[in-house]
Amino acid sequence: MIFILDTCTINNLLQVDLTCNDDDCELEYNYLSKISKHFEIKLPQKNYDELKNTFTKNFSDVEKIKYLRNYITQYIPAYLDTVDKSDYDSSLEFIKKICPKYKNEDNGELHSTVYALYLNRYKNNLAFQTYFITDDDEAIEDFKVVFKSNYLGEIFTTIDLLCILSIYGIIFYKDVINFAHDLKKQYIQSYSELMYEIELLQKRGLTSQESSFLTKLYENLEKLNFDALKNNMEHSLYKKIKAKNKTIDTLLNKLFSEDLKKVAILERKIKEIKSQYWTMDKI
Amino acid sequence: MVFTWCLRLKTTFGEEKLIDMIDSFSNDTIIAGVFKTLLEAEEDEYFTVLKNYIYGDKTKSTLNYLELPYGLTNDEQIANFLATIINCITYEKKLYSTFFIWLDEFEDIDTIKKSLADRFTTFLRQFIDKTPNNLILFLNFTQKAFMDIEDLSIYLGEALTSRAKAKIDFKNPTVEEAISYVKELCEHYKKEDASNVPFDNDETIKYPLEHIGNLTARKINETFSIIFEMALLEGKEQITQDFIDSIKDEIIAWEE
Repeated sequence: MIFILDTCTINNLLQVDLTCNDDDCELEYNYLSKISKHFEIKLPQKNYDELKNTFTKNFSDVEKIKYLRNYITQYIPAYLDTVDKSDYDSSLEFIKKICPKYKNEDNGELHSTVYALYLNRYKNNLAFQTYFITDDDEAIEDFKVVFKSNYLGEIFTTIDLLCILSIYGIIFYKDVINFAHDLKKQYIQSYSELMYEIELLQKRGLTSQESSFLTKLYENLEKLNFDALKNNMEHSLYKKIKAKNKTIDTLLNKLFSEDLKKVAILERKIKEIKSQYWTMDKI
Repeated sequence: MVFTWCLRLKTTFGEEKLIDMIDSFSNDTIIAGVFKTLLEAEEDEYFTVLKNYIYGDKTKSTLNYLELPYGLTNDEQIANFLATIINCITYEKKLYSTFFIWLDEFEDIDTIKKSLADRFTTFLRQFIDKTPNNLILFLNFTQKAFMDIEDLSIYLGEALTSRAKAKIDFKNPTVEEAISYVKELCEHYKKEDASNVPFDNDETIKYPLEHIGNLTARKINETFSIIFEMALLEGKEQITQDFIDSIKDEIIAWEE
């Protein structure tokens, strides 16, 4: 089994696992190391380049950034391979031809799929050898047909990968659930901060109208009613609140740029595992 | 307060038995020492210094003043301290029958660092185990988007979740319950010479309640605060449906 890891998967596996006490950071489970002891991990150069540019996302803590930078430069290159350029380019050309959406795009998900084809068809004559692990639902939709029609293997999410690890006894089932939960917490970080900030502000001296306005804002956030939130931001009371607390405005704008759909997908996955995935206690 | 408890404990159980109780409940010689010194204390200042000690002050001057050899160094000692108080004052239900702790807004546990959340739940587990009788701990949890009761059990961990004996659902009030709530609040705050609630009838109270969506205590409070403030501004003696109609735009939660 070869696992081709997407940039988001590596980021998730590292960021969720990272714990810091004072200045001392460590990876609690070090999933990559655990996986590589039992399976083969590979990633195309493109993913490594993306990783170097994205690993600081979600973090402002200098120690965490420093730790991850060292980890990435020290361990990730081991998962890179030298590829035959003409064969790789030929795979790239083929995938671009069958996925016209990616004709002018160049991202890690595309290259992971190309790499899967390259490993199965050009490097070996194999089938079902590669498993592309990504949490990008758009990429899953775009490339699942390619994997299926070329018998390359499957596309899985990071949680699927962890379930596989639990089947092999590398981690426990409860670790999978805890990881999924922590990943969800990371996905909704700005959302939770925003809700908390609103609650905090409501405890300070606000007028009844300002407080009532924040309750409305909070309700619309709970319903994820982004149109209503945009209307709220046009209200004169919002400007008054913004003058008192800039954080709410910053977090709200940040939230608009985030993809909360992936939280719903993850929640569905958690439910699916809890109800469908075989564990001893469900027998 | 601690002083009053000490005095009542001494009177109820006698000093000798109390010391035995402290030794058995504290599970820690330092904490037992704190309580024994506490029994002898009479000055207010002593309690202020003791409070600092409980909050982690282990400077030489504090230790000398309290005549205690060591400061508190870990969460388990705080659990021992709280457990000793609770176990003593509820012993055989002689002074108090039950000790209630209400932790509000527990859902905000998702806003703190994982390591801190783990530390807190470990503390809670130790504290509950050391206080096996006569303690009721409420964890007030309001469900929010992306965080339901199952997420809470992940935060609490298996050990704490299995110790939970009851789950109580507080539903939002119905319109009728909300009317009673508003009337009770008005009754509570009304001036002695005021004759009745400031609304012409219950229908007037019902009117905004039916136009502010799902009813939460916060939303009811805020809506009626706005109505009262507007009535005061406009010098209204009595609040009517017509008046509410005239200020609808000011009621932020209003939904047609």
